[in-house]
Amino acid sequence: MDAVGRGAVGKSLGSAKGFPYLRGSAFAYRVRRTALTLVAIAALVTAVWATSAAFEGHADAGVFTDVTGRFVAGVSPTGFAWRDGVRPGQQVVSVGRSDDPAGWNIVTLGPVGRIESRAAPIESALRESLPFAVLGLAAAALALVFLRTNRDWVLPAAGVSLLGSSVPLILANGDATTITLLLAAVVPVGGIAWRFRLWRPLAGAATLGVVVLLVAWWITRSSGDSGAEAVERLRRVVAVGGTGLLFVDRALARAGLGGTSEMTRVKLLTDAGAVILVGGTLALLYLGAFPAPVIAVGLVLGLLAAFPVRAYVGRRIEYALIADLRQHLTADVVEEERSRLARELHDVPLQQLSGVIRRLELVPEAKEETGSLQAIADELRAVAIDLRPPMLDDLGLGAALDFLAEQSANPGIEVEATINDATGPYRRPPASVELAVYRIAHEAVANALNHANAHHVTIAASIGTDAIELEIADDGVGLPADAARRASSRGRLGLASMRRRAQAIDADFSIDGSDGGTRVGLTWRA
Amino acid sequence: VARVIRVAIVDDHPIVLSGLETALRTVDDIAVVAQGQTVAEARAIAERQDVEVLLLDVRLPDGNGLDLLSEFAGRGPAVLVLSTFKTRQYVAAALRFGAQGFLLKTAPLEELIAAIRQIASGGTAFSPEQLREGRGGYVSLSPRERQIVGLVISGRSNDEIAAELHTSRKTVEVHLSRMYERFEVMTRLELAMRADHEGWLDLTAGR
Repeated sequence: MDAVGRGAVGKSLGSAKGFPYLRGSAFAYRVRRTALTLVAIAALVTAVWATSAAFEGHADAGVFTDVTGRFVAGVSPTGFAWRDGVRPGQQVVSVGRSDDPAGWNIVTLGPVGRIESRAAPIESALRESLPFAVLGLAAAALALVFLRTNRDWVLPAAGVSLLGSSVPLILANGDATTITLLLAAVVPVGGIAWRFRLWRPLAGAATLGVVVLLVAWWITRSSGDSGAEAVERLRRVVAVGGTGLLFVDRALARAGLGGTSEMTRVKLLTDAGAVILVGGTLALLYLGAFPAPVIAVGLVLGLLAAFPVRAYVGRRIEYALIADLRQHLTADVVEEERSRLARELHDVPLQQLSGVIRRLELVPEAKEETGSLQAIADELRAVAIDLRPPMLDDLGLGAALDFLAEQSANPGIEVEATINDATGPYRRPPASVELAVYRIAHEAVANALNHANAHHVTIAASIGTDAIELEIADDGVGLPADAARRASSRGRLGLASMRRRAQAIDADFSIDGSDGGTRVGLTWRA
Repeated sequence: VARVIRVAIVDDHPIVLSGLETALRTVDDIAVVAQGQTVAEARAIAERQDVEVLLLDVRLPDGNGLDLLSEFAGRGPAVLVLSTFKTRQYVAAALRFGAQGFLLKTAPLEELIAAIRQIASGGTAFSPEQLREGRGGYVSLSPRERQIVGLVISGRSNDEIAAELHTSRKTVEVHLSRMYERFEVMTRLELAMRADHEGWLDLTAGR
């Protein structure tokens, strides 16, 4: 999950340094998206093919006459008859009617006697699977609803949908159809492989395993190898496991790796949409609610509609991103400009004033003028300090945080700094890190002062040359996670900017406002 | 004839250098014997035996005057820091790194001259207010560390401290070794002296 990789910064686009949404090149993103779409389409095509094959029954078994005129069985390795032990060339004792309500059957003479194979009655299979299919579709609908608000629900919902629609596949007695389950599993497993950085090796291996199993399955079944069934069982486990992995993925993401990005939502929309489409189509086909051609037409229409919908959602998100980016860039520009002004004030007018004051002091009649020049210098100094605390450059982060606490305290609010400063002359963390941490602290304290209605704010920092820990806590109204997310997505409270600054220096950032007061935490390691 | 105090000035702004020199030239018992604009030049000046008081700027093109100050560690000339900014943190850093005084560049000439004389006579030129504010600076101790430092100053052994605080000797040792590292001292005596000198325990809780 790009956006939740703990504060890591990957390659970024252009000047948007550390901007998480645009990580990776546009080309890689397009390739990724195309690959996922292709997998989804392949899964759909296979689903339609396998389903129609199962319904028509020709994938299963048939009766032929051999050269001696005997009736012999012809069996496809994808059919149920094969599973029951019917093999090509076995003499056929009897065959059932294709419209037998109890299911079509075939009886042959095998090496050890009669072999009877009966397809499950399709109608009853459908009846049994109906609740699951409905559940699957409902979950898919829920997924779409939640997709707009809370991504944590998206893939579990899609997973439920997939599982729900898988049940009818397993119940219906068609081995050919399990291949769709297999392919459907490739989508979530592959999706996780692309998105979830942490599990990428694992998920990549799982996806590869699925593909290998698929090939092994085809080979063993077509050659009539007896290992086929073991492979078959394993394949089912992997297929269902792929869906299970979805839950693991989401649970992990939810438990430890909070954070969200709009672009992630776009990706999820695409993947979840594919998963839901596959699951939903399969469920509909097995429900037999509509004739296959109607479903096929519906599917095509659905796919056609999906593109404008995605384009619309994508565009809206894009606008939000641009606004967000502009805000960040503006903040950077302002920051740079303030630093430049502070430097200019320090280097030019303040130095000139001190030089002039020294000379003017030698003129006894100019005592008053000297006094006013000193007052001007004091004011310029105050402006410079306000623009950018000079101790950040001259003395380091510890001094700057101490100063921040001193400056922020007022009669209504106590600001207390506890700083463990292990830095010293010539031993300081990189200046960019000091600045980022200071700005985050500044923002957090400003929030506590302006929004939290706090009475007591603590700044706790432990500063070393290669590690910094910062915690800013207040006793104010706190910050419900939802409010934080909303405020953040609107660029308020500076949460996005704090997070971005943390990401830019590869630091872990956390904000917790659930149990009375807000706590902002930052950990940086060189 | 009064003794002449030999002074050197290091500041990267020519206008400051010349202003200071012009002003100090009017004072009979002060002679500007060297000038520099960089940390490197300041280091060379510090090597000279004839400079008594070095007026040192903080922000220099090739480094930081306060960092340089910490290099002297008692050797070299006495240093009066002349800074563009003056907040508690600056004064604290100057104190900690061994300066003998701290003034704003725009401070009245009389104050500057008085400070130079004070330092040349072997004293320090920190005002009582600066000492009070700057002592300890932002050196901050956790409540536990504060207790331990207090007990160290009163001459307790690690075992006694552990007993007093109802903790293990090991814990006390860990706290102490962490503080040694943080404050760059080698022994408990050094720690106690610094804590005493810089008034760590005088400060209000949390600072």
